[in-house]
Amino acid sequence: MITAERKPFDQIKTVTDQFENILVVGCNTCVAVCLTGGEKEAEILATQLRLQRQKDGIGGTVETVTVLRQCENEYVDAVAAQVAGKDLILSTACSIGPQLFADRFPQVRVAPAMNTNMLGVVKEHHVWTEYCAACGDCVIFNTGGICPIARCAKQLTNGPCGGSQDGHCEISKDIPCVWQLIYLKLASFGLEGNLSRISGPKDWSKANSGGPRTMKKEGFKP
Amino acid sequence: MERELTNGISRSTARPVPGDARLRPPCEVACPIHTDAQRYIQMVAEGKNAEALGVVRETNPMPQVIGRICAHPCEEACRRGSVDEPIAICNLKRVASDGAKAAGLGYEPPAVEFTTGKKVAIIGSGPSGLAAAHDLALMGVQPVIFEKQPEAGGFLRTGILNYRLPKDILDEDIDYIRGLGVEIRTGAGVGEDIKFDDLVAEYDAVLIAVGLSESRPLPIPGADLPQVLLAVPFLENVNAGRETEGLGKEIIVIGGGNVAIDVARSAKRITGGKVTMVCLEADNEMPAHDWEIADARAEGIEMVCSQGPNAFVGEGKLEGLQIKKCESVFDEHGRFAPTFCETELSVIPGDTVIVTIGQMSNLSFLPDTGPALNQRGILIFDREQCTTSQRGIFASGEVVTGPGAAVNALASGKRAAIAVARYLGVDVSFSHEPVAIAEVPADVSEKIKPAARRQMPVRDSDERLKDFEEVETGLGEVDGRCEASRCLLCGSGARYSELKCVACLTCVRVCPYGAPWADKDGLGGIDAGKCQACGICFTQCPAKAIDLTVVSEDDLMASIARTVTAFGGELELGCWYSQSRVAPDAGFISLPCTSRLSVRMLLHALESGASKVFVAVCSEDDDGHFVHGHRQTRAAVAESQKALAEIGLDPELIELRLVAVKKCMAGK
Amino acid sequence: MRSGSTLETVLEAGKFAVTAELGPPKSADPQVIIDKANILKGHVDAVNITDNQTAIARMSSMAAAKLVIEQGLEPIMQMTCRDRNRLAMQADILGAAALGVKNLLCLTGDHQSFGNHPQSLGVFDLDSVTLVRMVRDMRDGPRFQCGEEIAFAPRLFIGAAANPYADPFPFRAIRLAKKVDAGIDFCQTQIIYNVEKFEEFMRQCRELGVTERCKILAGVAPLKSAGTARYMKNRVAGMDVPDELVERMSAAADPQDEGIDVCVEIIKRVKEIDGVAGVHIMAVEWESAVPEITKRAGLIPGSAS
Repeated sequence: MITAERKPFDQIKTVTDQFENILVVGCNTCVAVCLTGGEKEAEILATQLRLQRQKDGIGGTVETVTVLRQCENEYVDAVAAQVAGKDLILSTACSIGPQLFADRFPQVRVAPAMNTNMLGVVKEHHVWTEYCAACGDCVIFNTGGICPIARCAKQLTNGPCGGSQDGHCEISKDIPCVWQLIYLKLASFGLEGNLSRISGPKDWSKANSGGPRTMKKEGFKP
Repeated sequence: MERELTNGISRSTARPVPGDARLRPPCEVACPIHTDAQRYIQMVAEGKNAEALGVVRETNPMPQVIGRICAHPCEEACRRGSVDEPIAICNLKRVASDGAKAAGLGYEPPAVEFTTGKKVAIIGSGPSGLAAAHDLALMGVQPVIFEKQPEAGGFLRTGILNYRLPKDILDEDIDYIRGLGVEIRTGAGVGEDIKFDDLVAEYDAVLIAVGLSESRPLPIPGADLPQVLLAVPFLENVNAGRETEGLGKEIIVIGGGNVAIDVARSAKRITGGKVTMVCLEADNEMPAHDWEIADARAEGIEMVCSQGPNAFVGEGKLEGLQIKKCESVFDEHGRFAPTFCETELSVIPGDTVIVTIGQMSNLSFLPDTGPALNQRGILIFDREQCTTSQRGIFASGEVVTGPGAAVNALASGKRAAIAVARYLGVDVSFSHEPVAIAEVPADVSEKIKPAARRQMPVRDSDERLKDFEEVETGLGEVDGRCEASRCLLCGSGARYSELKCVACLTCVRVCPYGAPWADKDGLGGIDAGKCQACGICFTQCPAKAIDLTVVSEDDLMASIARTVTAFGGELELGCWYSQSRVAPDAGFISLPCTSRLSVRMLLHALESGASKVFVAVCSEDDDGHFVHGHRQTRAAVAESQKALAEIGLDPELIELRLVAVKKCMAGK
Repeated sequence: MRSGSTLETVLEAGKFAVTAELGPPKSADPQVIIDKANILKGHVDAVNITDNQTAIARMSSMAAAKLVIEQGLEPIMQMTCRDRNRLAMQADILGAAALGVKNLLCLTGDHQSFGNHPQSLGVFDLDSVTLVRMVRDMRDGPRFQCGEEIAFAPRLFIGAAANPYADPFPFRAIRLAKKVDAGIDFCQTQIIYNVEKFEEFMRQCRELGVTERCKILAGVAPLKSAGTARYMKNRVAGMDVPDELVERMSAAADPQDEGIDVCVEIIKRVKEIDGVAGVHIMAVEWESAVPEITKRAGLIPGSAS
């Protein structure tokens, strides 16, 4: 899933203080699943804003609505009635959400309440870890099903650097050395010898270094 | 339908309707009149006895009586039984009625108007007849009860002794029913003072609820000896305070049921002599309730089990009872068919025998043209519709159901009331039988903290034998609240909305009891049999797909706003299981656990105008009533404080305050 | 000869090579380089010019290498993958060769989070192995990484680093072998304090045929104090400082002198290991220790013998 976390309130406030009628829009897909921007969190943020604006003597309204996915035109369009009369749409989705709102409601100002951070997995409750870098050229069959691009601090393709120690990365004892994991996984299949082969250089043009990506699919067009 | 509670929480009181898949607590399901025991127990736990009594009265027309003598099948069904011991539900009903009475609340009957213009004659003022009258009156049908005895109550008055059911208590329950406009004509024996056909002619319907008013005789040699007494007249005499002539000092009671126990205990009280019970059943299969047997034994009554009466011994004057060994009581089909060893005889010396082997009805008042009887002399009766063979003539209670507990007679009377009302054109239907939540699974039960059941205090056995005053003195306020707190709130927990669920698995991960589940497609649910209603999943759900039955988010949010408005200033969000308040002067909302408070609710309290919010929490070393409850409370408060700091408000506007769990809830 | 560098000449002649380290300053002052070069000159065959060492922004290794050349000392220019993509790297490689740099040490580089610009973008377009291959192809192809031909090839003696103390240990010699396959001519190891483990690493290297295809220079460094020893033991990733060494430094009356002695002892021990072709003395910001170490160890630079 895409994970995102809420911006510091001060950053949000700097924007919202300039507007009178605000609609906080939650997204009940990725950011709900990562417990930061779903209906519940959108309501908490809206309540916080109301309290803060009460305290700071700022008038206007702060309302909230949540859609299933803010990355779909139809869902975004479905809240047109709630958007009406608002000066600012504050989205708690990943940055796709506010962009789509800006696109669909060109007359209304839009702000993100979130910082989008990664494509991750729930390691344990309330802990998410990056698993994919969306590099456009997946190599994990060769690396024991473990991605060295997303999960190595240096995106190495030829084994652990000299900073790998006791199974963790040189940048933090809390981060496992992914190449240690890859080595052990391949060794468990007796395939650690595969790592003697030189891999790369990686083709970054398939990642976003190649410019904004568009995906198209063949088939039926309505 | 909504009921306002004093703390401002409103909760739906709507009963499950047909097709409603919502499962009910097994106590309620097991109860013949389906009293919402859980709900009144919660109110007792909060010390709201009058409200609790109100809940009891929703289904129970004789709350004080049933709070004392009920066979309480609810307790056998109670899921707490698989953890340690069942909740003392019956005793808590008494706590509610005693407590309300002490507060001078809950005994004023509502004003009733007989809007239908219909009148029903009810023959018999036992529990069944009274229940039918009570319910009919509330449905706008005017009931008139005909009772041949000088006082109302039927077997409750004539058969149950004062030490178990004080007469003034019975009077109060009957007076409440009278207060609904129910007329009870005592000393009005149908067939003697009034003709049955006159009732049929005069009333729109007739309900036969005469019970089993006569003792079954024991036709063995010597039965005509003057010292061989029958239970019903004996009990009638005792209950009427009349001299019980002919009682000696060595009394033998034949029978092993609850009535036999009452007879034996009465005889003991009257004579102070030796009282021996003789019954066919083995020690462990006596039909009387275990607790009744234990009380009788405590009072020095001897039990001679697995023995059948063979003959009364004595010429002109009883000298003893010859008994024979009973080898088995029931045949292979479970039918009553005792077999004896005719050679193994012995004699129990005694100067009086009281035969208590069962009761039968007296339907001699019915004319030949009236409702038909079967070959055994029993009324032909439709159990579903409560009808007899004669149109407009209904029947209920033990006369048609056979002997049973008083609460069963109430249930029968209540059903008959609906049947009669429907017959009279009132738009009511028979209530849907509820379905019970499954047993507590072993893996959940081991996570539930044991807490000892509060024992009913009784008068000392030597003392109580001296009179007929009530033996059980009542749990009282303090023990009552403790006992009520043991309730597991079966089925009051998480309600899951498949439509809103985003399949994030959070509930599956956070539930301490393993109640939520999800399959590979993200379809899931919350197992009501496992859910303990702690509220953690509710507060953690990011998509608001989970709500709580007790208390719902909307209700609690509204309650918070209302309480803040009503009290102004400070608000305490407290815990049912705590020993004390954390902010006694603040507005107060009491919750099963503060773990159900979400960040949004806490902020909402401030948004509603609270100047300060206190949140009760138990110690970190103590899980309190719910596993991990205090962790969730701490996390929610910490998050809320962070949210306040972020917006430049004092984080201490929301303050955590430690409370101790009630001592009685702190394990065995 | 691939590069014609002094280091290559010494090593190809089978002589024991001595290299040291010269860290460029966090300033534009050329004098720092000049001074350090003059301390080391005559005591070593070549000096490593570090590239934004530990991710701290400094004078570029190419500029510093040119200054070193001007002082008559041979530089080994270090290049990390952290700060440049393959375009910038190839540009710098061509430029360095044009300026007379003949040795290039190819490194992945410490992560940017260690340095003074932790918010910077870590490039890591290539890793050290693919960098080595790219340099080898530029020299021997001669062609750019994209395959286009290079008319005038950079003549470079190509090196890389090896750390016998990082994990997983069984992979360390294999990783060095990969660099050899990719095209290195020599390597310098992480600082050796645990000689036993290094011996095992060298045995694995010999088994893989690495020592026949690559000159291995053992990394050594004098400890300045017990505190330094403890810091390196506990805080520097990929370091293995035995406890007894920390204790020995703690017990020393003159820790600096003791540190030099320890370094010398290690040099003498590694020199005896089959496949060790030289030593690389890392006296970071303590360049003056190098002449003393070589003196006590009886090391004469191969180029001077």
